[in-house]
Amino acid sequence: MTIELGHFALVLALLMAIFQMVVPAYGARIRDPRLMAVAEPAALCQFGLLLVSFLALTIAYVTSDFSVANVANNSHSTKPLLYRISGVWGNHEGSMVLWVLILALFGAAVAAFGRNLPATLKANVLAVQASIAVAFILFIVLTSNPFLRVDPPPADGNGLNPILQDPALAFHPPFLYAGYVGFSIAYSFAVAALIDGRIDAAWARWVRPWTLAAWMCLTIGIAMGSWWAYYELGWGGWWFWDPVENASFMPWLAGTALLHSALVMEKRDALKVWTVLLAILTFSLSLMGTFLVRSGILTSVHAFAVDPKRGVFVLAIMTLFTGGALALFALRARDLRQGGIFAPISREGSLVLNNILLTTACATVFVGTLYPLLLESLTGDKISVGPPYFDWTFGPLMVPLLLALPFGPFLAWKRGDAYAAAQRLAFAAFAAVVVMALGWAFIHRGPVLAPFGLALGVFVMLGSVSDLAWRARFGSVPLGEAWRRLRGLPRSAIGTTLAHFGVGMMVVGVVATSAYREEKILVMKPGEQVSIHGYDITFRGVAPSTGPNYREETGVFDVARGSVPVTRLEPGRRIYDMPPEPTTEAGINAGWRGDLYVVLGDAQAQGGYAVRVYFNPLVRFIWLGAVVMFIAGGVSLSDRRLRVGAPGRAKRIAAAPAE
Amino acid sequence: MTRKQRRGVLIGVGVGVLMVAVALVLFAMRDSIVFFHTPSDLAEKPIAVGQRFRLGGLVAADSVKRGQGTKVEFVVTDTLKTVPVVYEGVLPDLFKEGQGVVTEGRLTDGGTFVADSVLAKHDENYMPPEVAKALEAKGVKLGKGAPHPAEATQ
Amino acid sequence: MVLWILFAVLAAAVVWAVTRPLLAPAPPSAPADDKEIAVYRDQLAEIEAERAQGLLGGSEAEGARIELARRLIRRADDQKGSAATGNAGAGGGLRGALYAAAALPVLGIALYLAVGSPQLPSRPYAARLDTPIDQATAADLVARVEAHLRAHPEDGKGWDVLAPVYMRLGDLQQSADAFARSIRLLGESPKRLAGFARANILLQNGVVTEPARVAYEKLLRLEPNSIEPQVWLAIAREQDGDLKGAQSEYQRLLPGAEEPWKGLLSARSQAVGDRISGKTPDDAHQPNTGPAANMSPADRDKLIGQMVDGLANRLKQNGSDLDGWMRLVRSYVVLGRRDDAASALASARGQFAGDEKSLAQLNELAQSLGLGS
Repeated sequence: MTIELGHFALVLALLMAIFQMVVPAYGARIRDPRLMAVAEPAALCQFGLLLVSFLALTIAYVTSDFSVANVANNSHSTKPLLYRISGVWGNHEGSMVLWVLILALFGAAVAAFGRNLPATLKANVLAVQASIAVAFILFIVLTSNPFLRVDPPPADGNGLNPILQDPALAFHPPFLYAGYVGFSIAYSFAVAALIDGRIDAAWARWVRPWTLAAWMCLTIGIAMGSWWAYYELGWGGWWFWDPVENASFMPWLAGTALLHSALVMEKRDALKVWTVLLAILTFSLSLMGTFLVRSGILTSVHAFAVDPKRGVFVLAIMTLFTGGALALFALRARDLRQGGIFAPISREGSLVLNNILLTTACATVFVGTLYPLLLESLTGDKISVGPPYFDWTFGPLMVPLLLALPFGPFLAWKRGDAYAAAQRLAFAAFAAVVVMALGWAFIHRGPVLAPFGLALGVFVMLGSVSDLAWRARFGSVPLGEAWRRLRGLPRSAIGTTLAHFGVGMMVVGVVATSAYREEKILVMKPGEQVSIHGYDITFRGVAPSTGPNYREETGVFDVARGSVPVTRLEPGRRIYDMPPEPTTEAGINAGWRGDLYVVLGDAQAQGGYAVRVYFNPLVRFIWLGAVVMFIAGGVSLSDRRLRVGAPGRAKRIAAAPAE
Repeated sequence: MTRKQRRGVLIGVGVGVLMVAVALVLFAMRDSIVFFHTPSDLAEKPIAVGQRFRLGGLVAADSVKRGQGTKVEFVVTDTLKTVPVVYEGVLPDLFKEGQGVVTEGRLTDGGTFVADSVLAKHDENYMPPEVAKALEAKGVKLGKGAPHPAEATQ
Repeated sequence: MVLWILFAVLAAAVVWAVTRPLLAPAPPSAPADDKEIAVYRDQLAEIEAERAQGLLGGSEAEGARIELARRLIRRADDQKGSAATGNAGAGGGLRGALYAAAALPVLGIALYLAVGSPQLPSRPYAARLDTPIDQATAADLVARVEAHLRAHPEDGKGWDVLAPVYMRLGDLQQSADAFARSIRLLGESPKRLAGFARANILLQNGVVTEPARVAYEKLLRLEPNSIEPQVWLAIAREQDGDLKGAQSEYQRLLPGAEEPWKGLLSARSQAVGDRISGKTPDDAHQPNTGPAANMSPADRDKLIGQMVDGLANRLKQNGSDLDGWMRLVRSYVVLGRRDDAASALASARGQFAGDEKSLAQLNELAQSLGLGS
């Protein structure tokens, strides 16, 4: 019965979204405050209905109700509770329900917290947001309905692909979707502003917190996916330039550019046309990501829904929303008044450079991802564009970006002083040069450019800290005074520093892992030993074990440094009961200096097992960097000036008696 | 500087970066894209020894020989033609005889394909689309679960 | 009934929520744009704060302030222009919105009835294990035994009961597994050994695998006169390439054999004879038996596909053949085309609507195959 209630709620949510799309937009057109006011409860209702729907589906999964076709196809009664819940979005239909739920959540958040928005803008934003919901709920009801029933129900379900039964992957999709879908707010604001025909600094101020929240979620979502690939796929790789990975990375690049250009727009009322375009493009790239994954037109380890009919539907949605917004943009962009002017060397100038480099980098990823599809549809030739392409295109574009990054915060608005900025960065530059020299002097393997890469990362890390230190006048005023000043700095400034610091960490991790990774593949018999990066690893043998829904062969490896035992690693090979699929579980010893990563391979005919051993130096920095960026976003978001609804709240209370 | 000059500088930087990017893309495209072929393609249109490409098809039944250490030999077939493959390393979990596989590497003089990476299909219902399409094009009927290009038009 | 009440409550709640602002007295619309001005005022305060901190020079702060003031004035000008167009033609829009809100539940129910299944109750796994035996479906019973066996995996009797059921449901892997467990726990019996071997052979599309061969050899020791193990051991010989040995076995068994073994033996004997005399090349042989023997897998699939499609076409023209429908449904399930099976079942049900007896047979078939209605 709950499941039918969920189904009804979904249908009602569709109608509510249509209502929310039409009535407030008409109200905004004829400036009727009552019609516009409908948007708010409608958005909340739409979210509530989808929540009922989602919970009903979740209950069906938790109680293993196999009379629901979706549950029967994707779950199993023996699955642990966590994976029964994550199984809701571990399949195509359920993941789409989560997608629209998050979409509605963002809409409801605008309705609930956007009290400082002008009525017409708010009505238009919520109407545009609802139009996206209409398209996707229709998609669910028509092609991917998770509420269809089976009567009589089968004895048990088909199970969830075991490779997806993993804690990181359980939470990866919700964050990723929150990121993708969060950019819909920026899109809705852009389209609403174009409909309204005016756009200004205040607009940027309203958009920024939403974009920032979406960007945070996308950052952590991508990092989780990368982490999962690292330890679950058993190759020790953390990024494969796989089309599905690229599909989430492109909106991230565009979204990062959007964050920066919206800053210029807010402070200086400049770059308006560009920012609006970027808002539209960012969400379009998110839609394209959804399309690429959902249509299954890509060869990928991640794409789990392969159905051309759905692909065509999502393609239609994507074309409609991208094309429609761009047409509106072409029609109205000329009316947007240009704002403040600035010198090339200035805060604005540096942010423009950031935008140019990020969007160009995004474009190269776009080309590398879609060129094979285009070529195949035109000539029938099948090609694959591998990591070397991205190393050659994306890499070189990142170098100037990272070199310029620490300068940005030191430059003043309108007209900056590059020389003064360079002086303030002297310490960071000096430290970076030292790192580079040490690298060339003491590390005799790996690419020649690797120490340069490490130095670049260090430069970004220290350079961003320098900004904070200079603002607080560390060194020129007493320590206590400097500390007081530091605490007095706006949180958004601290957020900026943290985020840039995270980027630096990530660069260090990426360069160190890629350049200095050690790898050994060999056959080991019990009692044999292998050495890697100072660790002695002794293979003790293989023992069988069983889990809740799998059987496992667990290899036992004792790790020691010299005569000091370090740890025992237990990599395994699992066979799941349902579906009967094998997975590899890597044994990982994580540390600051790097990860020791052991994988148990096939049993060999002559006895012994194939074993892969890796040492991945500083690999943790990659994900720690992402976590730091996520925290940085949170710090910025907590800034009173950015906080949703904050501006004017105090004033409204003061003005209340007058109303 | 006038407003126009300033804008000129910005546009100049933008165009410059874009041109560099285009140059990089063209350069990288020439060197790092890999073509995909099936054994029958090779029979029809031979490929130079040492040229890097991807070879895809099914792992022929009873063809997997695990040699000394981590060296593996097997035969990739599209059921019409076959190509022997040598691979040094640990095979993916889902590598099985009779299942789809994509290998990347080079041909040697003897006609053996030396692979440096092997990608197996991802789950029971998944066949690498390029393999499925190439096999379909050759008129090979696939088992259940393999994505069928004809479905796209239904 | 409870379901419909819940539907009504849900629908009423959302209609109430969205009509509230429509029915409220019109709020004054003018101060809306104050919010924008508030943003600028806030930015002015920020500039002040930054100057106080020394982050902004005096002249820079002055410049920023002037710029903001200019924006504020421009904003006020815009507003004057737009204020003229307020509140025109609101009455019609309001009525339309109210009608639309009222239509929400009606349309919702209509749409739901088109896609939903209000008559079906939830069937949580735990509750299914408790349903009374006489109301439980085959699948429920299997689920119950499975749940019991997960708790007591050493209960050989349970596996013994379940193994043939799996086989009938077409779940060969599970069946082979269950037979193996019951053999391990309860010991070897002719029934279990034969079941294990059959499941293995079916699973491998007719190849007599080593475990199956061993099981048949054991069975033969228990029942030296049983024909089934002898036939399959002979086929195993053929598959191993011992054509002469297989042929002599076939010849030895053929006289005493009854159907279905007789047909199978003569077909195999014929095929092996051809291969020995060189009529068919060696690599064309297929281990399968039955009408599609001696074909490549691709051809066989095609042949079976054609046969099934032919049957489907025939039934489309003349749908009164109940057996034909049941055969079609079963074939689709065997071929793994469950969607086709379900739609064939639906067509059959439509065809025999009102005919209780035929419907009962169809339902029974659907249950035994684990198909939805």
